[in-house]
Amino acid sequence: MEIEELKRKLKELLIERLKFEDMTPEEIGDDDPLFEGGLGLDSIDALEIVVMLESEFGLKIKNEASARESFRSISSLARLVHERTAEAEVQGQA
Amino acid sequence: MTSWLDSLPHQIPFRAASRAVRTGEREIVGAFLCTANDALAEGVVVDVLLFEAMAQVAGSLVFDSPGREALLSGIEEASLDAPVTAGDLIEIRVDLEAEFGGIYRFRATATREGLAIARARFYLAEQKPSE
Repeated sequence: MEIEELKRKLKELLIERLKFEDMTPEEIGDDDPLFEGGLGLDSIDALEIVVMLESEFGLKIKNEASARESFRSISSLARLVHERTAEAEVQGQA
Repeated sequence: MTSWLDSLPHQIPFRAASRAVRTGEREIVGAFLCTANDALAEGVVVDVLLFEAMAQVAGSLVFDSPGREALLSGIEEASLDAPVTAGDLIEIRVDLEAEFGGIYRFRATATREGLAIARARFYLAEQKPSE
C-alpha cells in the first residue's frame, strides 16, 4: 500500500476504532499531533491504536518508548506501518 | 493466601468480588454473591456492584503481586440483561485482551445459572509507585 493510501486508511481506522462519529478523514491533518493538543488522544486510545495495528496490519508494538515517536501523527504512523510491512515482505521472500 | 482482592482498600459492600481464581495466563474466573444486604441497595446500585466485581476480578488477573496497584480507568460496551437479586451467585469470567504502556484492556462476562446476564469491556491503568 502506498504511503498516501496508508494515511487515508489510518484516518478511517482511527475514526472507526476511537468512535469519532462526527469526524471525517479530511478533518485530520497528516501532521496534526494525535495526542497532546491536536486530536487529544489519551493512553486508552494509544492501546486501541496498538490493537488496531496488530489486527489490521499484523504489527506487534511492544516498546512504549519507540512507539511514542511513531504515534506522534498520521504521517509518522503511516511511516511505521509502511516500513514494518515492507520488512515483513522482505523476510517473507527470503 | 494473599491476593490482589485482599489488598483492595474497598470495604464491604464495595469489596464486591468474593473470589478470583486464575485459570490461564490471560484468563481468570471469579464470583459475585449478592447478599440480602447488597440487595437492600435497590435498583441500579446493586447492578453496578456486579460491574464493580467484574472489574475487581479483572484486576486480580494482572495486579496479583505486592505493590502493584491499578485504577479502573474505563468501561465500554457494558450491558445487563437481567437484574441482580438477593441470593444470586454470579460467575465472572475475564479475559485479558490487550495491554500497552500500563493500560490493560479486559473483556468480562457474568453468568447466572449458566446464562450470561452481563458483559463489559474494562480498562485498568497501572499506578506507578510514588517517589
